[in-house]
Amino acid sequence: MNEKPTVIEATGLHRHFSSQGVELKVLRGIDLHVEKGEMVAVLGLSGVGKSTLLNLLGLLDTPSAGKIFYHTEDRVIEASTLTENERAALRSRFIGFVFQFFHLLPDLDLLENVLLPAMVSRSSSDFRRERRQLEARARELIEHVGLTGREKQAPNTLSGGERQRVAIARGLMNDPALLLCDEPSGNLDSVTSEKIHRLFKTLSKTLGTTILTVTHDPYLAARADRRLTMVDGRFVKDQEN
Amino acid sequence: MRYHPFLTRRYLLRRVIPYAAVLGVAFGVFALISVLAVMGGFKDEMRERIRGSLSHITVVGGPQQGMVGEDLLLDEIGAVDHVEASAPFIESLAIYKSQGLDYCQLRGIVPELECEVGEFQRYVLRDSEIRNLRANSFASLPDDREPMLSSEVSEFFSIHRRRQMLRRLGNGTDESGFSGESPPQALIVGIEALRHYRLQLGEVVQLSSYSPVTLEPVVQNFIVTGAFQSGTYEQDLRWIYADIRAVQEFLDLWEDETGDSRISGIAVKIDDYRNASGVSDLIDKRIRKRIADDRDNPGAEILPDRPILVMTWEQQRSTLLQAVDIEKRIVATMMMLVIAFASGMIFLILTLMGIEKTRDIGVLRSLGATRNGVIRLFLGQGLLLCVSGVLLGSTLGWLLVENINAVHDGIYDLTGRRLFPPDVYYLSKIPAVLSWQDYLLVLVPTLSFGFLGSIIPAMWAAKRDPIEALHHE
Ligand SMILES: Nc1ncnc2c1ncn2[C@@H]1O[C@H](COP(=O)(O)OP(=O)(O)OP(=O)(O)O)[C@@H](O)[C@H]1O
Ligand SMILES: [Mg+2]
Repeated sequence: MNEKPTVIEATGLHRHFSSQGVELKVLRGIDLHVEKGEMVAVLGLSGVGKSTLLNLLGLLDTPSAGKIFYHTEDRVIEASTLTENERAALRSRFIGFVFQFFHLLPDLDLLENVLLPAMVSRSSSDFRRERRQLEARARELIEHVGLTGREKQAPNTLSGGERQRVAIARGLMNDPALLLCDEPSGNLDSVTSEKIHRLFKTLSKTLGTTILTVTHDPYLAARADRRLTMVDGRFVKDQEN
Repeated sequence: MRYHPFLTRRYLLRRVIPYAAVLGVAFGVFALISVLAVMGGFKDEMRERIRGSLSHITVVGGPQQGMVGEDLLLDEIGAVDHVEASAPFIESLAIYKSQGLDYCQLRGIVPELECEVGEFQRYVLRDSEIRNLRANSFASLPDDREPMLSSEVSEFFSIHRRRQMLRRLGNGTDESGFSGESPPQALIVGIEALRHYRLQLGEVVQLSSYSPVTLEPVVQNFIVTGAFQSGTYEQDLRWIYADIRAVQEFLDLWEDETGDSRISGIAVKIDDYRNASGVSDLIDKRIRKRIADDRDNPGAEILPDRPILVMTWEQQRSTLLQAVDIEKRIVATMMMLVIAFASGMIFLILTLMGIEKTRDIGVLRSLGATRNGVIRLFLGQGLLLCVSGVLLGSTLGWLLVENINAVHDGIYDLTGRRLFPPDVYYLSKIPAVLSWQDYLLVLVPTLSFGFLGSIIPAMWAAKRDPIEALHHE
């Protein structure tokens, strides 16, 4: 097997929460290594710390101990060396999020929701200059998720599965090196989640997107390249499918 | 960042409450601007009224002793820099008897000099003007009315005029006891005294008072030969002008010991009122020096050592001026509450918006928006509301201030009521002047309140942990 470039790496990640004097050790030494184009599923019982891990990797949270390395095109960045603004910038360029509850902005239509990451990462003048390309990309992503022709629709008029597909398109808008998904099909019926699974598979094949997804769904896990199972704050199994 | 204007538009335009906030701020600004403009115009107008016929600077003697040495004083004062003219005057209370009894403030003046130091030539009325003003009791002289020449003013005190007026009411016959050869001295009375039928033109009036020199009662007949309108109601009712020499004779002001007649003071006009306090100091020093010099080496003419007081007109009327100023400040403070209220509305809207949009904020943060970016998003929204309100309110306020009298007439036509009755303040028009200081007084607090009302919810919104925000239901 030939060496593929690394996208993200974590060593010895700990995350402890202390509430009312009780220290809760959620993550207790996570090591992680994801290569480009891989689709990795993270499994584990409820409350084991999967979302916590995703938040750390997505720079929404900081670990109590341990290091996370982001392999961008030109250099390797260690998370703890970053300032608040650099973290935000890395979040917008390098990482895409897909949440269990979609989290679309109700005031924006479908196309605008997909364009939002481009708006966050660009100044008004840059956005205006690149507007055509960006809109074209958004429409292309909407086509990928199979919602062409519904660009002007408001999110609350979409079904759950459609909303999640919009959220996936949004997650891909800035062409992130890593797409982090927290139970993307957790809130959908089996037929719809099957569609979402297939979509992930196609995306990782056609667009070469690296996907790290937390899931309880055995079918989705089965489609991943690798499965990581978390028990007591550590990964116990690293199974290739 | 692009998402700022975009989300601002999406969050604000499709909701009703932000418009209400804009209207609230606009109303506050509008009300404050209008009130300040009217109060400002009113203040200027009242300043003129309060000043009335006071000259820039007045030099007066003590209340008991008055002043003597009129010619020496006029020379000394005239030699001070910036002094353009000076005129002696006498003031005294007197009681007049015509149909009934009433009291007046009698002022003895030198008519030509009075025209130089004050605006007497603007007040004294031509006979035709007297008729017009008596016909309409709220009328006042037009602003562009041609002032009289000082020779015309003097004419009202002349023997010719006095004889003419004496004949007019059928006096001057033998029974009346007045002869055309030596008619009584002239009085110029205020227009309100004529309007209220207390006095009439050509009437012979008996004045009585006490002489401050002899402390004996004095009585003398005068004849009303003219009228004036100063624009200050109290003056126009109570003041009566007469020739200073006639008043000196009437009040028995000759002092044997100094060999001179007393006067009450000297009115001074200077080139520019802004120099007033400096010039009044110079006048004070110069007169004191002259008194000291005369005491040390007496010459032919001696200025007796009596206390003098030199005052600018603002010093003379300081309490009234302050009262008008305070009135304006109180109203402005009250109006500020409206703006504070409107800013409170912005604060509430943004706070609620911050709560309602908690998940949006979480999403934006996860998409790479910084904390400062979120602050700017909310602050921008608040300031947009505030600035829109200010612009709208300023425009409306400006329109009202420019057209206030048309609006006032419109209200009168519709309702038949005058909000601003001309007789109360003696103003035929509502004065409205908006100075840029007043505008700043509106702008700075409004924008500060607006900023405060926006920055606090903005910080609250940005402070939220993005993970918690995403889980917000
Ligand atoms: N901010 C916090 N403060 C205290 N405890 C927390 C905090 N965030 C998470 N936890 C705790 O950490 C543990 C792991 O939470 P996490 O959300 O990562 O679980 P999960 O594996 O995603 O579970 P699920 O599959 O149900 O989503 C839970 O017991 C949770 O209560
Ligand atoms: Mg979870």
